[in-house]
Amino acid sequence: MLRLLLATDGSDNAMRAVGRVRALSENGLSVEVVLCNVQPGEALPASAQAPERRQREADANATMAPGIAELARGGVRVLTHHATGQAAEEIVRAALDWDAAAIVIGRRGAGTPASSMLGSVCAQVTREAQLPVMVVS
Amino acid sequence: MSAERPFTIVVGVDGSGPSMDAVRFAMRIAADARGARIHLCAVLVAAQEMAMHDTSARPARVLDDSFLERARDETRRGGITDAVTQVLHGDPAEELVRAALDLHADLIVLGVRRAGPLHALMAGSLTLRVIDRAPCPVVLSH
Repeated sequence: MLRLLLATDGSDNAMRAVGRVRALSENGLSVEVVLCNVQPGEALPASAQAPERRQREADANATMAPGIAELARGGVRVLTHHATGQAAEEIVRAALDWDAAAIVIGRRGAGTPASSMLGSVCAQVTREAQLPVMVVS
Repeated sequence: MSAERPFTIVVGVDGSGPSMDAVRFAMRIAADARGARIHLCAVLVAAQEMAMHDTSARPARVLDDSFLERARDETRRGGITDAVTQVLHGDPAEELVRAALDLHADLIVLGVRRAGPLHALMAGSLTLRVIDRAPCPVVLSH
C-alpha cells in the first residue's frame, strides 16, 4: 500500500488533487492518504489552553472534511494531520513523520494566466522535499 | 473509466541519475497497482538525431540510447518483466505529454535535478511544460 501525504487547504486545487488520487485508487492503485492541513500562524505555546487547541483542530478538520468525504466515497483509507506554521515546511515535515512515499499537491493557478508558475507552496515543497512530489494541475 | 484499462505509468528517461530515480519510483508505484504497465520513454531531440546521421561523428556519439536498456534492466531486476521502452522524436515535453495521452496514462514520472534555487521549475522548463499540459498527475522524483 502506497501512503501519500496530500496537502489540502480546502481549495479547488486541493480538491482536484483529492479527486485524482481517488481516480488512481479506482484504477487499481493500492493507496492510503494522509490528509494534511497547515493553518497559517504561530504554533501554540506549550502553555496554550485546551480550548485554543480544540479550536485549531476544529478549524483543520472543517477544512479537511470535504477531502475526507471524497476519499471515503472512493473507498480510500484516510488519516489526518494538522499543523500550524509555514505551509511548505510543515508539509515536508509531516511527510517524513508519516513516512509517506510521496507528497501530493494541487497546483494553484492551473489553467489561469499565472499557470506559467508552479505556485509558491508547490515549488517550495518540491525544492525542499527529499521525497517525490506528485503535482496535480 | 474502464476497469479493463491497466494502470499505466509513463517515465521520462534520459540516462541521468534523477531519471533512474524516477524509474525506481515508478517501480514502487507499480508494485502497489495491479497489472501496472511501465512505459520508459526517451525523447531524442533534433541535435541528437543529427549526430546520429553525422557519419563524421565518433562512434560513441552516434546516438546512444543504451540508457533506455539500462532503465529496462533496472525494472527487470525489480521483477518487472514487461516494461516497454519507447523512443520518441521531437520536443521532449510535447512528446511525453502525447505519449501519456495516447496511453491513457495514470501518471507521468520525471526525474528532476536539485540544483540552484530555481532549479528545474522555472517557467519554460521541460518539467513545468509537462506539468502544464499533462492529462494526469506528474510525479517529480529527485
